[in-house]
Amino acid sequence: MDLWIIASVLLAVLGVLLIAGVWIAVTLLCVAFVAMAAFTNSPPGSLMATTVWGSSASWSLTALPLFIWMGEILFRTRVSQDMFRGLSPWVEPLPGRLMHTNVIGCGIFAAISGSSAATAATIGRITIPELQRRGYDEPMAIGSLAGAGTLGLLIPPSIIMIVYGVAADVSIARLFVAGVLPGIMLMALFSGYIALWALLHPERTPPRERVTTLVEKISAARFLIPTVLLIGAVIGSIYAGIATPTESAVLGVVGSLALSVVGGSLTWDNFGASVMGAMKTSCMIAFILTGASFLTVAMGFTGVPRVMAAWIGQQGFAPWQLIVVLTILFMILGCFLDGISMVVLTASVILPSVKAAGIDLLWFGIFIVLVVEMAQITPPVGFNLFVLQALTGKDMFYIARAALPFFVLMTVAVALIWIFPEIVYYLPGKMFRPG
Amino acid sequence: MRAILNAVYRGSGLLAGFFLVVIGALSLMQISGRLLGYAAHSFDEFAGYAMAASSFLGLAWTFRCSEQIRMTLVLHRTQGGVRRALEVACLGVAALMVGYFTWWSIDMTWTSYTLGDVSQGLVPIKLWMPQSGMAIGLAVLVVALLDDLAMAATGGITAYDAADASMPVEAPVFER
Repeated sequence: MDLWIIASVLLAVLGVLLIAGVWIAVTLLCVAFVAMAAFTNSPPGSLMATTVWGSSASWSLTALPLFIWMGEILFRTRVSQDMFRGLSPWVEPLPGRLMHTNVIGCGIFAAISGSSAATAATIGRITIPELQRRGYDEPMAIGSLAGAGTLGLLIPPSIIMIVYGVAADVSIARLFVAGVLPGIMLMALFSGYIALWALLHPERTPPRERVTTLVEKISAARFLIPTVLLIGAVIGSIYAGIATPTESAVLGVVGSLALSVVGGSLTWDNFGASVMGAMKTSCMIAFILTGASFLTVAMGFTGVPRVMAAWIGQQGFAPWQLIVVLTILFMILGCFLDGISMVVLTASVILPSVKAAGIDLLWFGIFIVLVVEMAQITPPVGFNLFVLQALTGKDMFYIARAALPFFVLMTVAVALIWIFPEIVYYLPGKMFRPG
Repeated sequence: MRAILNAVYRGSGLLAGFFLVVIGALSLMQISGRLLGYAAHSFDEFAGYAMAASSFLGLAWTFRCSEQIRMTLVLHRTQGGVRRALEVACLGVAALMVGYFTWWSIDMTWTSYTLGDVSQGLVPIKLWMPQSGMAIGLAVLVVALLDDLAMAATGGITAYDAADASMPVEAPVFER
C-alpha cells in the first residue's frame, strides 16, 4: 500500500485520540496497534507484550526513578527556601541585581530536579514575590523566570535526556555531559541580557540594599553549598567515568538523604512522600516509554520511517535545512504536546531521517532538548506558562510576551550550537570512558 | 466493594514504591560490591526487573491520582453531556487497549512459565516471576479504568477528576 496513505491514517488516529483526551501512553499504544493490525501481516498482541517487556525491564532506565527520587528528597529540604536568601548577596553587585537569582537559582535547581515545571514553580514561588516587593520591573522578573525555568531540561541530570537516550539508543552519560556547556551558555545569555537591559534602563532597577562581606555571603549560602557540592559530585562522577548514570543517581539519592538528615527535614512521612512522589512521576514517564517502544517497532514494520528517511536522503536537503524545518515542526507540535511525548514520537518516526541527513544523534539530543525548552514557553500550551500563570495570576499572553526576549535568546543558543558544535562535543570528547 | 478496590489500587501503588527503593538498594549494593571487591552478580538485571515491577504496579494508583498525562485542552472546554460522553469514550478506548495489552502480557507470562524460560544472566531467574509484575500491574490498571468508566457513565466524578480538584493549583508538578 502507498506509504503516504498509511502515514496519513496513523497521523489521523494519533490526532483524534490525543485531541479527544485519551491518555498519551494509551494513544501511542493504539496508534502502534492500528499500524500493526491494519498494515502488516504480523500479529500485534504477542509482539506488543514482548517488546514492552524487553524495553521496560531495562537497567539503563533505572536512572530515571532514581534521579526523580533524588529531586523529590532535595525538594523537601531547606534548599528551595534558602535559594533566594543564599544567592542574593552574591548577585547584588551585578547590573540587574536580584533578577539574577531567577537565572542562577533555576540553574542550580535544574541540576536538582531535571524538570522545568518544578524548577519554575519552586524558584518562582520565592523570587517573584520578593522581586515584586522590592519594586523590580515585573515583565522582566516574570520573563527571566519563564526562560530560566526551562533550564531544568538541559542541565543534567535531566529526565528528558534519559527519555531521549533510552528511546534513541544514545548513551545517557554522554548526553548528560554534553548538556553542561550549552546549559551554562544559556545561563550566560540570560544573565547577560538581564545585565544589558539593566544598564540600558537604570531607572527600572531598585538600588542596592547593602554591601555584604565575603563571610556574610558564605554564611547566607551555607545551606546551598552542600547541595551544589552534591550536584557537582553526581555530574562529576559520570564525567570522570567512575559511575554510570544509575550509579551516580544512587549517589545522589544517598547524598540527598544525608543532607536532609543533617538539615533535620527527614521524617518517615517525608521519606514515604518522596518515594511515592517519585514513583508516580517515574511511572507516568515509563508508561509513555512503553507506548513509544511498541510504536517504534510497529512503525518499523510498516516501513514508514525508512521510506521517509530514504526520501529525505534523495532530496539532498542540507542538514541545516532539516534542522530549520524540524525546529518549526517542534514549535507547532509543542503547542499541543508535552516535551516527553514529543521526544518519544520523534524517536519512533523521525530519527532514521535525521541519521540519513548525516546529523549526529548526540548533537540532535541536545538540539531537541533546547527546542522542547522553547516549546515550554510558547502559547497556548507551554507548561511553564501554566505554572507562571498560577504563580502570578497574570494572563498567559502577558507572560508569553514577557518571556519573548528569552525565547529569542534560546533561538540564538540553537544557532550557536549549530555553528559551533564543539559546545556540545567538547566535554563528552574529554570524558573518561566508564569501565 | 469500594473499600476492596481502593485497597487493591493502594496496595499495588505501595508495592511500586517498594520496588523503587529496591532499585536504589540493588544499585547501591552493586557499587559497594565493586568497591569492596565482592561480586554482585546480575544485580543490574535484578534492578531492571525491579524497574519493570515498579513501573507497572504503580500504573493504577498513578492513574487515579491524575498523574498519567493527557491533553485536556478540548475536554475541559466541553460541559455536561458532551463532556461525559467524551470522558466515557476515552475511558472505553483506554480500557479496551489496556485490556488487550493485559491479555497478551498474561499470555507471555504463562508461556514463560510453561516453557520454564530463565534469564540470561549469571544468576538464572525464572522469567515468569518478574513478568507477572507487569501482567498484574496492567490488570489492576484495567480494573481502575473500568471502575472510572462505570463512574463516568453513571454521572459520578472520576477518581482523577477528584484528585485534580483537591490539588492546589500552584503545586509543582513534574515534567509534562
